Amino acid sequence: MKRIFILICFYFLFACKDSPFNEGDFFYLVSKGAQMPIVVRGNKASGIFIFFIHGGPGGTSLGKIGLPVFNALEKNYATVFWDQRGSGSSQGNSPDDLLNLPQFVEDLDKVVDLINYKYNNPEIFLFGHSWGGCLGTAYLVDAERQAKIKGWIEVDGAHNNPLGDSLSLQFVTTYGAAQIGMNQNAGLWNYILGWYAQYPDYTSNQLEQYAFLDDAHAYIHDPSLKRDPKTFPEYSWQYLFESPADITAELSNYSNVIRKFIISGIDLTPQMKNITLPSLILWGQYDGVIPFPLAQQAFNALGTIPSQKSVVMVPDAAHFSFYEDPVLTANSVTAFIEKYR
Amino acid sequence: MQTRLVVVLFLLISEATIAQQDSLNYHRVGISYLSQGGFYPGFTLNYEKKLLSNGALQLLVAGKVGAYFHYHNNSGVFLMIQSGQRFRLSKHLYFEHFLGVGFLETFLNGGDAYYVNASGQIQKVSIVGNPHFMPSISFGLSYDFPGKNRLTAFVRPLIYWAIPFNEISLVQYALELGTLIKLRK
Repeated sequence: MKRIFILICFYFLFACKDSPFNEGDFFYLVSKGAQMPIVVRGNKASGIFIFFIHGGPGGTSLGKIGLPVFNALEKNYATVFWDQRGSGSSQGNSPDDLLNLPQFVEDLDKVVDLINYKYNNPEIFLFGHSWGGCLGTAYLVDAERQAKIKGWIEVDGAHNNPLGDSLSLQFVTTYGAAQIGMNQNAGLWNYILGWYAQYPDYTSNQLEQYAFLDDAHAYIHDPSLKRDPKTFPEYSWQYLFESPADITAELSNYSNVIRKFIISGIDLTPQMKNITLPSLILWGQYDGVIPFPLAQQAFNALGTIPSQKSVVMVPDAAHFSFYEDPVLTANSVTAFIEKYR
Repeated sequence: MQTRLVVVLFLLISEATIAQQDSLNYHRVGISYLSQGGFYPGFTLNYEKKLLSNGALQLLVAGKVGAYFHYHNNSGVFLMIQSGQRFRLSKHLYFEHFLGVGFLETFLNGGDAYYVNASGQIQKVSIVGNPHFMPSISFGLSYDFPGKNRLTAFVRPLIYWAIPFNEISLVQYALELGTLIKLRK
């Protein structure tokens, strides 16, 4: 009995440190009221760092630690996970008036400088997903900042929000009409289509639509994909209770930032010609949040010479394409890095 | 209306007078394990004083200092005063609830913090602390062990707010498992 008690005490005191979420280097960037966690994992000796820029705005990168795609990439490369200002498990008291694109770009630049400082100027490939695709694009349109980066990987990215919103509306309403036609959840879909009809000038700032996107499998195409800890590490017990993440802070930060940082008007297309880096555009075939035509639009808008940019469609995948097909994503990223390192 | 008010006041005063007859010199101190936000370990040192008491109800004022450690996130130290009530459920078992206000200072945990200036120069910064106003709600069960120097064991979920946190009020939760010992009768 005594032994069990000691073991329980030991677990409570030290279990948190043993969590796989606590592997790697851990440090913070302090900037203008924000205290942002950074985790560097994987094969740091490779000198090649894949810098993941999370979505949202207001999302988290810490929840992506342990994803099969990153586990695969970490065998050969280092990965960088950074929670943005006021987002995820970032702490401090970041003022609301700094929830804007120029400030997030400035923060990203500081993290890049910090990675270069701590790891002796590795080759950095930015990997931006969703809102991270917008932030990464905004970062790279400046030549001085672009010079710090070796390659650009945009995954289901939000570089053109007005177009993304209109295509997303089309995706959901088409899906809904088909459901009604098949008499599947007709009541729900009539309600949803009625909602969109009520807001003809709909933008993604209207948060109600996130639930509708989920109903249309706009995030995850395969409804049978189980949200188990292996595929979705952020659904694991260890992530909830034994990771650097603070779940209540994550939820509060997300709720705060998504309401206050309005990105629906941001269209970076005209500036994308300034990006001449090798670029890989990865997109879920059935992405209903930022639909697939945006991939080709990014390809056309980038200033990169055609031989150094490519679009990879992830079949049977939606907005979280790198969850649904980690093998294709990891293989595509590896081939891209090996070509341009 | 006035008559009704007088009657209510009279009953309350009578109740308080009866209650005060039951050992008012009641101080308890104790320690508890604090599980913050899941399994992040911490502790509290507690003090409680009974203000009013009868067989069924106790009015309490309490104070606590505590700390917790969320590895790779933050460490917190706090000071809190509470007012509360204990209701007897059975001979030794009580339901209790507390309202509190306090001060919480959190510190980044588990990694160096860096500052990057406008020209890209980098320097380490010393431990970064964040002050928070800390209102709280706590409720739970306690059990008075029979005996001369009565020992109490309690379990109390604690909900508290860290204000400000990124210009919002951050709700947090914890669980206290602890003991109290009576100092004087």
